[in-house]
Amino acid sequence: MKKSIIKYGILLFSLATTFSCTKLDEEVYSSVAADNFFRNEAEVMTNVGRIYAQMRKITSRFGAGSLDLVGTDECIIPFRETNLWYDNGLWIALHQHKFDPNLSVMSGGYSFCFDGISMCNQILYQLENSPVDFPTKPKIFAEVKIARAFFYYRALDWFGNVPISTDFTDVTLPQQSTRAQVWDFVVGEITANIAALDDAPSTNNYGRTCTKAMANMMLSKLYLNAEKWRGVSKYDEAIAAADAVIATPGYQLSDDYFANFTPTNEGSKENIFVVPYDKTKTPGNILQIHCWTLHTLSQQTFGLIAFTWDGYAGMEDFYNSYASTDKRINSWLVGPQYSAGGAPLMLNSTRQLTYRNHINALYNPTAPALLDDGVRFKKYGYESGLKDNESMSNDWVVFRYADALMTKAEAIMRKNGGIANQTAVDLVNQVRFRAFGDHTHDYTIATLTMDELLAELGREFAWEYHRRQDLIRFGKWNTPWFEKAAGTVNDELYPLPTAVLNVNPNLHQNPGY
Amino acid sequence: MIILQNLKLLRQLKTLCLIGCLTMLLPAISMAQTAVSGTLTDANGKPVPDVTISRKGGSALGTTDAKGHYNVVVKTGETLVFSSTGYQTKEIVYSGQNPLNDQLVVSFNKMDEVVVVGYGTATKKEVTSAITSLKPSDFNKGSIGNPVQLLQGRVSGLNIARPGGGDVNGSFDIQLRGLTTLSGGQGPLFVIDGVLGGDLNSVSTDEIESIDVLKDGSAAAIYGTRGTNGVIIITTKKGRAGQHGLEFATYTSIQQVAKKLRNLNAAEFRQAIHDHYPGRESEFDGGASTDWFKEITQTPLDQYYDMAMTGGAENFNYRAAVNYREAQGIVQDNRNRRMQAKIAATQKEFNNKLTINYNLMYAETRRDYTDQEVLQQAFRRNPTEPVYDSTNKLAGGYYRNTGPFQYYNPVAMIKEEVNQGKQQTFTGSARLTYAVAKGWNVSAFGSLIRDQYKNTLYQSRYYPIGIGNNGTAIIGTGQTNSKLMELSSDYRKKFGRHDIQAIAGYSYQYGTNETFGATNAGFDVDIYQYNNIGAGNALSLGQASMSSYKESNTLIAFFGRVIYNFDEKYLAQVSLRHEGSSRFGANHKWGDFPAVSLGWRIKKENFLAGVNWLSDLKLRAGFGVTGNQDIGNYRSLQLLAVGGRFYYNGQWLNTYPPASNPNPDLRWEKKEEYNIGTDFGFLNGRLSGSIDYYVRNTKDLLWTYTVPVPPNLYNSLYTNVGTIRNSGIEVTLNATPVKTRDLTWNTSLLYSRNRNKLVSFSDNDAGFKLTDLKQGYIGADVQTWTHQIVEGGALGNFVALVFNGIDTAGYPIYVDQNKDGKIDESDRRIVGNAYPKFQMSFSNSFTYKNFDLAFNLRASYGNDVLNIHRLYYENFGYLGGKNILLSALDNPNYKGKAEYSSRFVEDASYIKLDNLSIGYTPNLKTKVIKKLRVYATGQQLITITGYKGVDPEVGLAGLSPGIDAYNYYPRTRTYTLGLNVTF
Repeated sequence: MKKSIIKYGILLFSLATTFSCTKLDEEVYSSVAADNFFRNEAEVMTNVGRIYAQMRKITSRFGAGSLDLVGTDECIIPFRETNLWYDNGLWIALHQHKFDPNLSVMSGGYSFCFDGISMCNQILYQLENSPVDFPTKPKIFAEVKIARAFFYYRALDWFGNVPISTDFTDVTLPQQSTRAQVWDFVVGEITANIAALDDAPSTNNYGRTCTKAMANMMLSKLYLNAEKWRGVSKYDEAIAAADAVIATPGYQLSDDYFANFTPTNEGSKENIFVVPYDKTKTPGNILQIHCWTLHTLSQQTFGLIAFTWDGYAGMEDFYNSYASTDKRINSWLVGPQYSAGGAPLMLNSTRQLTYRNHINALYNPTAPALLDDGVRFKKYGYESGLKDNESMSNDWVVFRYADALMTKAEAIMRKNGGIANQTAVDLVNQVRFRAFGDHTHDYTIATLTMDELLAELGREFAWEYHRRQDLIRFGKWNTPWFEKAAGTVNDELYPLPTAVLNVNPNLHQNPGY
Repeated sequence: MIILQNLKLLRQLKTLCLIGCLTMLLPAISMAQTAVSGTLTDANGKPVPDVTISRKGGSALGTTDAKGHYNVVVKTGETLVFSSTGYQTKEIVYSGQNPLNDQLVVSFNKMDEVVVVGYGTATKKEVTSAITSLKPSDFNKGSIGNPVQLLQGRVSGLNIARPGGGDVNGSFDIQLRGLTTLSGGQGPLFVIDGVLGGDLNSVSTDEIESIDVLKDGSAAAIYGTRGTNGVIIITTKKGRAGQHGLEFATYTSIQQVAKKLRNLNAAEFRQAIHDHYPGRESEFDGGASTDWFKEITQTPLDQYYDMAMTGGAENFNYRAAVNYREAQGIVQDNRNRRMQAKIAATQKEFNNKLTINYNLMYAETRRDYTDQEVLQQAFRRNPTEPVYDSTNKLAGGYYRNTGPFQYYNPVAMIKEEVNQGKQQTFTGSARLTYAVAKGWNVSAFGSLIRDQYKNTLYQSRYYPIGIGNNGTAIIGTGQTNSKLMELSSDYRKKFGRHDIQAIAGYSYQYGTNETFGATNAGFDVDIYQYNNIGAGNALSLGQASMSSYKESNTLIAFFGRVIYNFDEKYLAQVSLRHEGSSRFGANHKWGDFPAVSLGWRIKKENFLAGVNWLSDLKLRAGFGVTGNQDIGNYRSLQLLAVGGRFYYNGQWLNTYPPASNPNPDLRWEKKEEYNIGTDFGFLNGRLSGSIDYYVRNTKDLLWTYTVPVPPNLYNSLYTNVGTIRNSGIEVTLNATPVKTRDLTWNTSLLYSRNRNKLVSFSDNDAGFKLTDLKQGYIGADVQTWTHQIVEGGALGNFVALVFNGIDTAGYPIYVDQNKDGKIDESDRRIVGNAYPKFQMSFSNSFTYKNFDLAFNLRASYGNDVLNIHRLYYENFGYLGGKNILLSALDNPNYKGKAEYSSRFVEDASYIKLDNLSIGYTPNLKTKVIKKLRVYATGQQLITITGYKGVDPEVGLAGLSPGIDAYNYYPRTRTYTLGLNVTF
């Protein structure tokens, strides 16, 4: 008995220990473990490319894409009949400049910047430690730093006082910097790295357009806004940077304003910095302007399959600022709507869909904006056949040549005490001529006032994420407009998101929040 | 590799056994054996079926049939033991009687009933932890597709809800003793015939012998990292010695709508338009009168056929069963067809020293899925619109109106979509048990579960969402495998008044999951459906998609347990599981899960010996540690996923962004549970019951914390921080108030209450800080959260503006709690809680002569439900393009919009008559049929509730429990007629 106990005991023990190959390592099949990648140039490039995938979040409605659009005087998202678009008051709050650190767009915008910054830091760290060497490596370093500078440029504009992090291996919580410090950092980064970049886009680098022209464009904006952001005037520097863009070979104004915004706008000679999207190649962070703005019946006008949401519209006064002969007025869809075949689009048996340049109210549950209140945006061409959850293939334009002309003109005027000279007038008239096709609408030194320049910037760059920066620089951001009261200087910075303050006790909220 | 090694070793083991046993076999062959038969009856002369006749201290020899008759082979001088549930066990020394007829005496005492405790069994009197054991007579009756439905209202502390309502493909939320996790799995571990993580879909409800629910930590700790949410052990029927027969069962049932959402009919709609939009009547009038609900529903018919055959002798028995069930839902395209088959066999060799069990189960299910949005669309569809419009060629002849937002013809949604799934599940297991010496067994167990599915969907060119796609086909397939290998040795010995049983073992489980999916669109014709997915032109346009995925995980454990009692008076149990899971971080792969529990049967003490009315009294106390590893694979690693593409050198290239931060410290959520309880019986067990009180603390709760970026790479980290506490009381009372020759009445009453509290979820030192968690998202047009969890607060709280009536202008008034003159989120307060304050159920069964009757009432008190349909549709905001609730007309001047407030958080306390069943078992003259029973059952017959929505019983899983489903499914009553025959 005892013997057999021992015998079987040993047997069981040996059985158990044989199986107790007590290894519990996880086998990964469908992802890549991070320490096992980026071993050659191609893999390094898939790493760098993440920056550009991140940039596509620039149009995200619950983040970056709303911060420069929804609170301006060029766009409104009203509460519409049949309970549409209330969304817990988000769009109303943005319109009325009742910015709150808990609004989803704040954390979305912050993440756009700082996910991008952290990503750049990691890529730089990996590049430095990569045993792989190839000729373009120094240029890639510069490119990643310029991309990081772009994310900081947006953070500086929106949130101002943000932390500066450059070292991926530093795991301590970063300290807050002042807006002026961030400005100095970004300008320093650009000037230090610009020389290593390509001059202008080519087929090789289209889509990763951190070029000299892009960097100079960013620089000219930083200088143009330096009075607000840094507390010093830098108009000569702004002019010099804009001149550097203008002098870059290959850039010119497109003959057709709208050619810059078509689904195949990668051929544009005017676009300097774009965020490329593609119908099938860029799922995830997609461009859906058609969904934002069109009523779903407009499917039949543009041959869309995708369901559209009937939300964003142009503001009445903004639309009215266009002359009827201004070709750019065709950025907007207005009036009774018809299918591509010419049949009227009927909301029901008696009511034709008619986009009217009037909005009943921003928010009035009993007399809400009608389904077809407000003019709709169609500056970017809508490609027929777009399906649900498909991106437009149009590349989103961040900087274009016209921007350099206008920036230079504005810097000249500001340097000149807010008064135009002939150089400024000539620069603006280049842009204006294209809009009308003749010189009868050209500005003169007398007619090109600062107010007129702001209006012209609005018309030229409608919904190009210019307007907030421009309104603040022209001192108009805090003036009242339709369904919005006058604001204070504190409204010129967005609040740091609550989630960000919660996790980093070094950070303090911006004044007024 | 491991399996091969295993087989080799098993073979060696077998050879060793052979040599060892052959020598012991020899002396056993000589003595004379006699065939004996007889009939067992009760005191009233009624035959007693299912009595096990066994040799004292040995194996079962036979079983009585429906007429109380048995045949066994015995030797003169042997002691036979007659045992059966509900009767006192009787021993008779065989001295040549033939026939050997006898009478059994009724017993109410359940203390000798066998309870499955996981890796073994014990009698109820030995148990020292909270375990509920149910036999088929305790199960719910009627048309039941899933074994968990058998348990609803039958186990105190176990909450079973069906969030998908009457959807025949819907799943169940199962919650035991409250929510123990924020982000881990919330379901219990199922152990089916020893297979850990067994598949419920392959278990036929007619084949279940018993279900045992291990509720407290001291019972569940033997299952280690999977024990936190409780363990449900299902044991299926096996062949039994001397029982030979054929069983046939069938039923058919229909469903009837008990409650649906009441919207405006065409006449009411026209009137409402006239009242609210005078002058715009024609704008909203489609010229027809359509009952959209009727257009998409049917009267569902279920049918079920089951055949089982069984037989056996002392050394070999088997049971085979096959069944087919077809269930239809109230929505036209909703159907579930399932075939289940099983074979179980047991053979004994080497003088009964080696026992071999085989158990094979197979299930094949075909599902026709219903898109529950169809019901929502039918609800909000303008009732004046027609179903069809033969002039609309684009929409395939269906009436189409693209004016209102997300508004689709529900009839077209049903008819122009085929959405089907096929699933095949195989479970096979084998167990070898060798009796090394008296009381000592060694055992090897292996099992394999293979689950394969294929889901297929085709939306024709006329499917109303995305017209212009020209047909969309989607195919998704997957396969999961789970292999389990367990070695164990158990030992039991009684010496003097000491009784000890012990088990030690090793467990290895490896699971994989693989999926594949493809979509395509743009088909020339609709006739292929999904059977020629390559034919669509979206593939060549780069608009089709393809995906595949694979994952695997491993669980390894060593476990041991000792159960001891002294004179059946002082009881103790100690167990430990040392377990590791591949899912945890490199620094925490392994954990220890100990448990200890003690019992004191006071009734056995001398001072209670004379108290005859008290038949049993036991006190129990236990403590156990369990874990929850149901968190998904690879959560501790830093992975790079294929990210968005970027444009480079004229091509779109993939990028590899980080998908997660690494966390080498990731470990299991650890639950520590204290349980004290008492089991008692009065009047010889005629009234019995138990009371339990528990406190369960789940520590190291896993949650995804926002972390600063930089320095982190990814903005969140999945890590162990918080603590949840649940505490509660469970009471079970069983009684047999009447037991006469003709009439028996059994009744049971259950009560349970649970309180929970989120003790903490911040660790400021480590930088994981949460002020609160806002959960429960109401989407379209409202976009807000519904629940808020704060430290020190309860889970399941609805936090909303407090509604204080409607002002004269027609707008809602909300209480300005902080008196700051404006109404915003800071004015929200706790306005309800989704979890019930207590739950009860009351079940009864009667037999009178040949008739039997059973019913079950179930009640819940204090549970609040957010009535999402009133929130959206009890106002006039949607009226016009869409339909609204009839109840909106109660406040005709209301001008508010769809808003979340206390107004729509309703007390949803309820009492339900869950089940009412009447059966008749005639006395048959024929010898062919041993037993026949016909019955009629009604399920969910009556619901008494103040809740204004469809059903007060809504999903309670997750962190935002108690929100009624926006895409709802109507509540139905089910009526079943059935027949059971035993040949």
